[in-house]
Amino acid sequence: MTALLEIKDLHAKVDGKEILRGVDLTLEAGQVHAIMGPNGSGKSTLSYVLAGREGYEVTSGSITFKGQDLLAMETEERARAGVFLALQYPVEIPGVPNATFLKSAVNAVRASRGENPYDAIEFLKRAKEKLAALKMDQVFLSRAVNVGFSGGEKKRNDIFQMAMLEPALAILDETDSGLDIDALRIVSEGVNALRSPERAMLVITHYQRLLDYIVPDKVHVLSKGRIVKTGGKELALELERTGYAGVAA
Amino acid sequence: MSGAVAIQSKQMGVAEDYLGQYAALRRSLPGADLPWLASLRDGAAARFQTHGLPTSALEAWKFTHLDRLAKRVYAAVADEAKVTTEQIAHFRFAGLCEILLVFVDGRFRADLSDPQLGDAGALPKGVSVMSLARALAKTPDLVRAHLAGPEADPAQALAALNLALSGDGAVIHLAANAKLDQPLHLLHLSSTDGAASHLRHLVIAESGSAATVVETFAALAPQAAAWTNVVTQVSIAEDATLRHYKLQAESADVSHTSASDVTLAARARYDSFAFAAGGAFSRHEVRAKLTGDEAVATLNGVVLGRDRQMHAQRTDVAHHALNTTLSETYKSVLDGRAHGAFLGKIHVAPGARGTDAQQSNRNLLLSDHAVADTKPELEIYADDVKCAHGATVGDLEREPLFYLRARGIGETEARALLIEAFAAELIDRIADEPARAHFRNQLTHWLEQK
Repeated sequence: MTALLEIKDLHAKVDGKEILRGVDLTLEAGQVHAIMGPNGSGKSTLSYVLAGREGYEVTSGSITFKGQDLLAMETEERARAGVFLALQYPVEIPGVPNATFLKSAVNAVRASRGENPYDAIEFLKRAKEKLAALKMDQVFLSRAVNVGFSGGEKKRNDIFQMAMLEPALAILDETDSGLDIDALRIVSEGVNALRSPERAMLVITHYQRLLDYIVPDKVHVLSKGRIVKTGGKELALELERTGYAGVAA
Repeated sequence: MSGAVAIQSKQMGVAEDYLGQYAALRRSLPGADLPWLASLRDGAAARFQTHGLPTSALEAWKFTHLDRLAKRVYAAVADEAKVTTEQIAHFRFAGLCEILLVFVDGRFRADLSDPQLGDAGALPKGVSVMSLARALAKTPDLVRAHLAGPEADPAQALAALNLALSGDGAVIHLAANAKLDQPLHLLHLSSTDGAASHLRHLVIAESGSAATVVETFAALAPQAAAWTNVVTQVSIAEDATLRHYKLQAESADVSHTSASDVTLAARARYDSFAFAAGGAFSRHEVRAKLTGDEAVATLNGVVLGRDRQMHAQRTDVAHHALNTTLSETYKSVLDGRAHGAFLGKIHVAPGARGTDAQQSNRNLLLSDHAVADTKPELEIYADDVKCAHGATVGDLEREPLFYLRARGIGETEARALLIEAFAAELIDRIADEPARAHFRNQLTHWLEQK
């Protein structure tokens, strides 16, 4: 069986500075992997490189997604192929209603799969189901994307988008940051509801706390741009006790 | 020719011609039989004669190029244009829910306007709406009390010319506590090549009253080159509210100069939005005087430019009382070789403590050849005031673009969504739904032409 995502010896620069220095990672469909590491270890850079953000220059190595060369694809092509990045800081877009944004996104993804676009009624029906599951009010649809949302609402909005887009690979970048315990539980339930044998997740987090809710199959420790240790879910607990100093040295 | 307007034989070309027009028309303009008005008009013509057309050497006209107006003379149209109600239907609000006044080539057209205007009982109690000509005949004292005379300021030369030549306008009077739920829609259409429309509107909101006035400027004949020169005087008494929205969608060869002159008494609220997408050259100026304590003015504007269009936006707000509030946001979206200029003056008079003034100007340049000029001007002579201003000029922000693309939306569509959003943010603040849709349609239309 081929892996859903295969990262080999990935090196990447931001502003001329090398941040990723040889990352190797293989993710099978159905698995959830966590990437932990101290600040500045390259966690967010890895997530942006996967999503194809401008300004993140891959200098060597490869990323294969569903057997395709991910690095050769534009940002939107990656999203349509099934890569989804839940951002650490979801962006506010004044003037664009959430529903307009999401309907454009869902229909762009559907079109790329050769599926018919949702009309307004079908879209609304699905959106309402997913909102209810995330305990979000329908007013979120008419409000401008993330404008005036609390930190927790922004994160839930990202997970709502994920639920609508049904990606093959979900990358959650510090989804727990800024969430109180109730919001964390709701977001985690939303994420767990999307776990499936066809879908893989990469959960990036600084703290072990999130992994109590989203239990990973594997935990990787990223330090200075490389994965320095890989283990089972118990590795997260160990890190919580010993800190990163031991493994990151 | 009357002695009040002595036209010297070697005047500066175009300006001289306008004075000639005044000399020819002064006995037939509305209210010509009223001595006080004749004297105001004569004085205004004399002012225009002294100053001529404004130039970009004036602070208030900086970056603003009036070449088009200096090259050709426009004149009032002698004959009434043939226009049918069918022709104006698509300029109206969805559901035809507004009270409509139509002006074609600077003339009020009762035949195209809502019939209820002629019927005093059809409007809510305390609301009166008539043409300037009719108001001068029926309630000259009301007009006299509110019609502003010419100013010595050379930057106000076109307003002076407007006063001299204004052939018509609307006079809207809201008695104390009168509330008008339906928006009043002043629809201005140009249909004749070479036409000049000098209109003077008066909006008088007595204490505790409230209304929404929408001004639309559009073309019946897309090829016609014309000049629209409009002044709307607004007086808002204590605790009254006026929402004032302006949509400028003139045809490609039109020059458009307009001004809203607003006075706010204590706790008065003025909420304005000016949208310009049409014309070859357009300039809209809002001058607001906050003369009563706790008056609140919100001034927003959006211009959309492409090809070689020039759009200028100017605000001049004077705070003269305690705890007054100003919030202004002006935006431009400029493509091709379009040129946008924003000039924002805020004056805080001595003793105007507690003034809170916020000004923002944001310019989105979609091409390397588009130009945005921006100039804040703050004069603060009082203590205990908050004044903030900021301006940005640039392409779309990267973060939202990435966010949309990371959700599968293609770059072209993502950019279109963000450009629309940039302009729509201010349109969406329009409280009245049909009026909001009226503006949204124009924005969509502009984006689709791309």
